[in-house]
Order: sequence, then structure tokens, then C-alpha cells
Amino acid sequence: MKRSVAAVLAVVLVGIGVGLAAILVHRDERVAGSSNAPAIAFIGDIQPGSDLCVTGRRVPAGTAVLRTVIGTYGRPSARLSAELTGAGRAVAQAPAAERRNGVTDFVLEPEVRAERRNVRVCISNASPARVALAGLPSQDPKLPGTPAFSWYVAGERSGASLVPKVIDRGGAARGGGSAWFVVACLILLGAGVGALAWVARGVRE
Amino acid sequence: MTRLRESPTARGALLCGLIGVLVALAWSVIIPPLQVPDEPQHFAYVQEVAQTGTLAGAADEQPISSEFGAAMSALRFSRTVGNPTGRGPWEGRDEWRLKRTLSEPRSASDGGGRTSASPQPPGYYLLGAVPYLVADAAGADILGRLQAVRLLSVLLAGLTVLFTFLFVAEVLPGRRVAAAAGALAVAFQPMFGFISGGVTPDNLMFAAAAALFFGLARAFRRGLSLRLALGIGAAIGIGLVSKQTFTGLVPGAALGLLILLARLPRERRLRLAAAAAGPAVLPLLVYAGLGATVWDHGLNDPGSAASPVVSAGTGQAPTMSGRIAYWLQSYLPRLPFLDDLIPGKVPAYNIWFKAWVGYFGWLDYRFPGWVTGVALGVWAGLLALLGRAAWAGRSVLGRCRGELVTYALMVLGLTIVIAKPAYEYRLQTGFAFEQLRYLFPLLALYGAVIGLVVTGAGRWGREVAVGIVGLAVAHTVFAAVLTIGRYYA
Repeated sequence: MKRSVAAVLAVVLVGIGVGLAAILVHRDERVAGSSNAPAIAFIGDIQPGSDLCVTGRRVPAGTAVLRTVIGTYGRPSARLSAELTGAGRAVAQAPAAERRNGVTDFVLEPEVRAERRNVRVCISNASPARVALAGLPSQDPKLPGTPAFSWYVAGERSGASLVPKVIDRGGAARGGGSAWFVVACLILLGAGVGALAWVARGVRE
Repeated sequence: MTRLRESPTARGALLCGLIGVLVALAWSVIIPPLQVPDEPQHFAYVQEVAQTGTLAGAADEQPISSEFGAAMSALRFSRTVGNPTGRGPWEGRDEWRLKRTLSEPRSASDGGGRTSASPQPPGYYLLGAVPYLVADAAGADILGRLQAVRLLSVLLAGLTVLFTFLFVAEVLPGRRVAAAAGALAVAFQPMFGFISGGVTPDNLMFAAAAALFFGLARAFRRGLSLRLALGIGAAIGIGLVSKQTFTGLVPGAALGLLILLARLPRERRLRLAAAAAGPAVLPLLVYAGLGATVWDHGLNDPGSAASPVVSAGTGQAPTMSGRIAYWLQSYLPRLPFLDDLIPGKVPAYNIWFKAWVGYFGWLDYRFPGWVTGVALGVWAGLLALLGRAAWAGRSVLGRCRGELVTYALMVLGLTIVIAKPAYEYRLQTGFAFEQLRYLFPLLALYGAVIGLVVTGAGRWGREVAVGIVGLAVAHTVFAAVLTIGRYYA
């Protein structure tokens, strides 16, 4: 193999390796779960001094932040609080504070350590004006839509810390389990390396 | 086999095809069920064909079977699509509920109603019924059968890559590194990989189109033989029963055949014209005949999306001048004398280039914006090399006028076929219709462009080829990481 070709090959392979390593060490906020309702429209208003509650929510383990999308009708923010209750007892809450228009976070106290089901989530409006909440509109106009709630874990986590979870989830509902998923990822990498090696030295003009 | 071993071109094509299969296979496992655009409709069509022997599109049937509907619900399909933080039922009670749903007996043959896929011709769905039935006989649940049909797409992806290699090797003779780079750039194009990993008739269309380009290129260089006429006809015939969009390539291919026939001695013309026309129209005739007599499925049956254009998006009714303006704006920079029908200064950049970088799933996740900027820089360099190659080979290009006009007409035809429904859809809804995959019947030409870039690099061709394939591999690897993060993290 010519030195210049080997140099290009090395740069490419090192680049891919460095990129993958950067993804693994990169720390970022991570999703714990979601209501699985996309924020595609505003589904209703919360009037001043009142609240909007939804029941039967599943709050995943490790949740420390509730993220949703609000519309403040031209104002930069609105004063909102959140309360999560289950079986008649408080699960977590976020005190009233100014929440910015658009994507907004409610930092919950305390963190929800174990998964909770049938949780009632209430967003209360302490502003002098109405606030719209985004989510998935109902097919039936008589029924309310589903608010788009995403649950995030506390702080930031590295990509590497997610690998076991990803492998486990990738094998769900597959005959071969997680092994197929891992093999597929290795096949992709192997095909890439093999193709590069072949172009670098195998193809004859 | 001896001939195959002795021919480096054949070996290269097979190797590229194998790499195409491996990449698509990986995508088919990584992408969760039903997350490739329109996969539910296409799989429902395959299931209907496999279970009942009839085509989808009956007005009085439900669109999907009870079995498939229950699986879609348990997969939380409607709450994952378009919701970047939505995840599948991968854990705890959700996974248990999915497994229980998959194991419960439900009818697999009570679907077959109208969907957006039901107007499509049946070629892919008939082929897909084979792996479906094999998996069914092996006792696979519905997700196992879906994966089995995905394997058909995987094999078709390999054929697309294989024919791309052969096409580039034909148009750039003696430059196998260029052919390898062109074919592998296709194999590792992440949007191609993503579509290849799913159940969609696009994959049969891509393979037929790549085969058609190869057949035409070979005939333009070596003359139209009986074998090539049959092959070109077969590629057209298969393409026509794969997806309606393929019709866009036919006028150009027909012109190419006419040019090739005109170069033959008069006494051979009729025979070879018949050899090409026979396989080109036979599948369509069989489809039309069986549709009229057995399947009750016409060539223009309406789908679920079919409805009169009611101008909900812009308040305008479609006009001929509007169609032309929309077509021009879809592919060219904005022209001052045309009405603005698509937002943005250069709609083609937003519609096609950003999608080339990656717009995955049901168009609900993509790379960060800076990646598009990097891709733009890379393409600026590639286009410079392309220009150099075109300049150096201008005398050759002049000799290939007939062939180039053929390809140009094929490109033109496809773009017109895409722009027509896109214009009506945008008037109806205000939303974009176009997806990059609609241009993938031109993947062989994309491979040739990459091959020309390698040629333009002169004595540094192999270095550039390694660089291009390396970037394509990186593109696909990081697209797979993005996809894994989207659905499983």
C-alpha cells in the first residue's frame, strides 16, 4: 500500500474512532422516558389561577425533570408550578417559578427513584394570563388531548453509561435477543473497515 | 465460476454487492419495526398478498389486519412516530404487553383495505410474500415475519450496489477504483441504508433502475445485443411493477433504446426491439390482466390518501404554470420570474441536500446543523474534482452525446413524476412532500459522479477514493449511532 493511501486510511479510521469515543464520553441531559405524545399542537389553555391535571401517567425511574412545551401568548414567560401525586400522596413537585415560552423544564423535588404508575400530573398557572400546553390532540374533539411530557434524569450522563441500557432495549421483542443487535452494529463497523481496506489495497486497476 | 474468478470487474461487483447487503442487514436490525417511512402500509400489503393471494385496496376491507393492528398498538407506533423523545415498549410491563400481544392469536387475513400503498403495483409485495410465508411456516410472530420481509429489501440493496459498480465500471472503463468508490458511496449513503433496511417497494425500484442504467451503458459501449435488449427490457418491466414513480425513467430509456436500435443494421432492429419490448411490457400486462380478472385491482386504483385537490394549504388550485414553476423551484435556485411556491432561497438545498445529509425515521430526527455545513464543504471539494474530470474528458463526453441525452431525459422524467404529486400535496396541506429516496432510482448516476470525482483526482485517485469511502463509512456509522440514540437511549 502506498504511504499516502495508508495515511488517508489512518486519518479516516482514527477520525471514526475519535468520533465514537467523543460520543461515548460526551455528557448530556438524558431522557428517562416520555408520555409518548409529541408536541404537535396546543391542546388546551390553563386559565390564571387554575390548573390542568392528567391522570394515569407513568413516571420512569430516575426522573428529576419534567419537560413540556408551553405557549404564553406573546409574553416571555409564565409563572407555573407542577405537582405529581400518586395513591393520594405527593410524589414530587416543582415550585411556582417563571417558565419561559416554548420548551420549558420543571425541576422536580424529590427525584423519582423508582418507576411510578398511575401518577396524577398537575400544572398550575399562577400568572395573570392564560397559558397553552402542547401535546397530541385527541381524535375526538370532546376529549382532551395528551400533554407532551418528557422525563429527564438528573444532571448530565455520558454516552458510555447508556450502552448497557441501549443493548438491552435493542434486543427487546427479538427472537435472538440483544445478541442480534450487537452483531448488527459489529457488521456495520466490519463492513466499513473491510470496504476501506479493499479500496486502499485490494482493487486492481 | 471460472469466468467469474478471472474477471476482476465481476469480482469487484460481487464484493460491493456483498458489502451493500451487510450494511443494509445492519440497518434492518438497528431500525425498530415500522420506523421506515410508510413501512406499515407496505407490510400490510405484503401480509394481504401472502395471506389471501389478493392485492390490497378493497374499498370494503379494513386497511390492516387485526393481528397487525394489535402489534402496531403494542409497539406504541402512533406515539413514537414524530415524537423524538418517544420510545418503543422496550422495558418492563410494556415489553411484557408487547410479547403477550404478539403471542395472542388474531386474524392475519382481515386487512387488505385501501392505504397510501394500495395503488402501487404488486411486484415487491409478491416477492415479499415469499419470505413472509417462509417465516410464517417457521412459526415466527408478526415482527419475525416483518424482519424476514426486510431481508428481501436487504438483498435488493445488494443488487443496487452491484449494478452501480457495473454501471460505473462501464462508463469509466479501466478505472475500477473509481467504480468501487462510486458503488461503496451508494452502499454507505445512510439514507439509502435506512430505506434498504425497511419494507418498501422503493428497494425493488432502486435495483431495477440501477440495472437499467447498467444495461444502457453497456449497450452504448458494446452495441445492443439480444442479451442486453432482454436485460434492459426486463429491468424496465420489473421497475414498472415495483413502484409507479419508475414511469419517470421510461421515456429516457425508450429514447436510449431507439438510439441503440438506429445504430444496428436494419435487419436486426425489429428482432431486438421486440426482445426489449417483450419483457418491458409483459409484467405490466400480466398485472393489468390479473388485476382485471382475479385481483379486482386496476392500474389507477385510489389509495387512502387520494382525494380531490381542495386547496387547503394555499387557497390555490393547481395550474399548469404552477406545476412548471414548482418543478423548476424543486431543483434549481429561485428564479425571479416565478411565483414563490416553496419557502427558502434555494429550495433544492433544503429539500434534497439536507436530506442527503440525513433526515431519518418518519422525518423526525436528523444530524445537528453543523454537519450539513461540513457536508457542504466536502461537496465543494468534490465538485471541483468533478469539474476537473469533466474538463479533462470533454472530448469523450462529446462522443457520448446520445447516451448523455438518454440519461438526461431519464433524470428529467423522474423529476417531473416527483414534482407533480409534490405540487398538489403542498397546495393541499402546505407541507413538503419530497423525500430524498424519490431520487434514489438515480443512484447509479450518483455512483458515476463519485467515480468521476476519483478520476478527476488524477494520480491521487486512490487516495481520494479512500477518503470518499471513509467519509461515507463515517457518515453511516454516525447515522447509525444517531438512530440508536433516537430509539433506544
